[in-house]
Amino acid sequence: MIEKRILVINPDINEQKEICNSLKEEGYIVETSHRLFEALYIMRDRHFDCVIMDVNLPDMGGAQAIQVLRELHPHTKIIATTSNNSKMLELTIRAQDVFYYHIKSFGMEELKQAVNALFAHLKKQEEKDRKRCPHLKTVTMTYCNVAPVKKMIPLESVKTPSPCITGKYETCSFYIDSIGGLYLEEIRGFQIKRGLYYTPSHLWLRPELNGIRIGLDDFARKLLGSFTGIELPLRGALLKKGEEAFTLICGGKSVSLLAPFDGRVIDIHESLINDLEPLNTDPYNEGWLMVIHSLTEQPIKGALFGEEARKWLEEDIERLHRVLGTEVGIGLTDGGTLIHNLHSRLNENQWNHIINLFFKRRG
Amino acid sequence: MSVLYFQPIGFDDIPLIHRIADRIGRYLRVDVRVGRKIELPPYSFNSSRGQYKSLKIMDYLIRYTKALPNNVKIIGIVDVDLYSPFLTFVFGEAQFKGKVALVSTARLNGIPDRSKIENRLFKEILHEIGHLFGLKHCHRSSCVMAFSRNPEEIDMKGKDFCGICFRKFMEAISEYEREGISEKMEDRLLQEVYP
Repeated sequence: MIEKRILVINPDINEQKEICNSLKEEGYIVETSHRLFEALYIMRDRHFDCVIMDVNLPDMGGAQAIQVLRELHPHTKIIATTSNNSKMLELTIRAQDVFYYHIKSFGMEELKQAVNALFAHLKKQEEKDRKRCPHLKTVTMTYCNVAPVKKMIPLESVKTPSPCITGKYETCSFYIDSIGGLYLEEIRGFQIKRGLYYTPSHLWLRPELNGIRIGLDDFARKLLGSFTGIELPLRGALLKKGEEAFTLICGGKSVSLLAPFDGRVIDIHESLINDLEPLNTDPYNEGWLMVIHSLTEQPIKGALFGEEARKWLEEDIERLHRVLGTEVGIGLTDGGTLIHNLHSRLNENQWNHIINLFFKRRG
Repeated sequence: MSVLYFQPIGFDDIPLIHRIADRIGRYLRVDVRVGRKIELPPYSFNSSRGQYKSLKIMDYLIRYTKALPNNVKIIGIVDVDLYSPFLTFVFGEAQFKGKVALVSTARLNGIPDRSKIENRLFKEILHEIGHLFGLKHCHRSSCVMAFSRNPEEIDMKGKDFCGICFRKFMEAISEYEREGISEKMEDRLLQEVYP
């Protein structure tokens, strides 16, 4: 949590006061020190997000002072200030990975802007960290003295079976295993599998190394009923988001489902054409339909995951009950589960209405 | 004056209905009347499913009570197994913002414990009354308006509306009370429909 705490290290009392007052006006908590070692003593007890230090301190100066500070407090950001700027000094200081190099003659306003930018950066970083895989930590690696780089590495307690292949840790198999696996959850008679993404048109998506594996969710399987046929695209076919991707035949009625994103089909579940049993019995594993290599940068943008997916399914089940109860029948019901082979009880109009409502969403 | 009518249809345990009517009346602060038992319409039975179609019984109830104005709510109570065309069975069904609802005790007695059945019936009747007053299913599992698939799920949900559903219910019932039914109309109803 960022506390907006700043330590000003400056031997000049007037300058110290000016910086201090000016930053306090901006809402920062500011403490001051005249020398580096006094500052280090203060920093032993208290955490500071930022240190504004003059590079000409009486006890130690220049790059060496920054190095000492960096060694003892690697997470504290440094803004270096100087009144005696030179090309050489600037190069030496900037090489120490300071957040900003401030020349005092440029004025207090510029320093304030630098401090505000630093805290905006820290806030952004904090938000980013919150979304980070809990099994990784950030380390600063120094391959050469000029450009240290930050890397994400697994924690010591973790032995990953393979290096991370995706920045989206929520879909990483190791992460999913660590939170208890891809377990099935039941909502009012419909199963939903955790760890998968869902499109509003009831397809599940699983990002993999080469592409995105897709299949039908349990809601679609139960609503569309026992499948008697399937038409899948050919390998290599180009699919366009929102256009028909494959067709399912269920009890004499057919339904074409739409492609969730632009992509090229790199694999299809060919054996389904002869045996649809896996689709009818295990839609989340053996019943997969195809693997699509995405041609867009964010293919799963707009897809639902985790708690969001759970809520969405709950709403869709409620909508289904309402539709069957009000538009097809008369009222709202309590109790029971949906009958198998619903399609056999619906006339053409009712069937089309259900298909358009739940499976033709262009999300 | 707010009136709810509980209508036993082929249902013999009238004291149970009276007890529930008393509880509902106290909980909702409305007048709840219990009508005389009527027989089930035989055509509502579906021999291929071995169940009774709730819509047909509701339709019968609508015709039977057609003299009643829309703002009088009738809750039919049966002990036969009900179904809706797209569901395996139903505990109850209600016209959304309508006049008639139906509740069955057939599937409520998984455990032969009298108080349990009574509580389940209380919840189901309250649930259907909620639909009659325009409440939809609630996603909060503790709310009586939550959907239940089996008797155990009825036990799991609470006996009350959640805060949001309760507010909606009170708004709807105050509207209903404003429209009201006159004493004269009520006398006529009692003579014609519940002689």
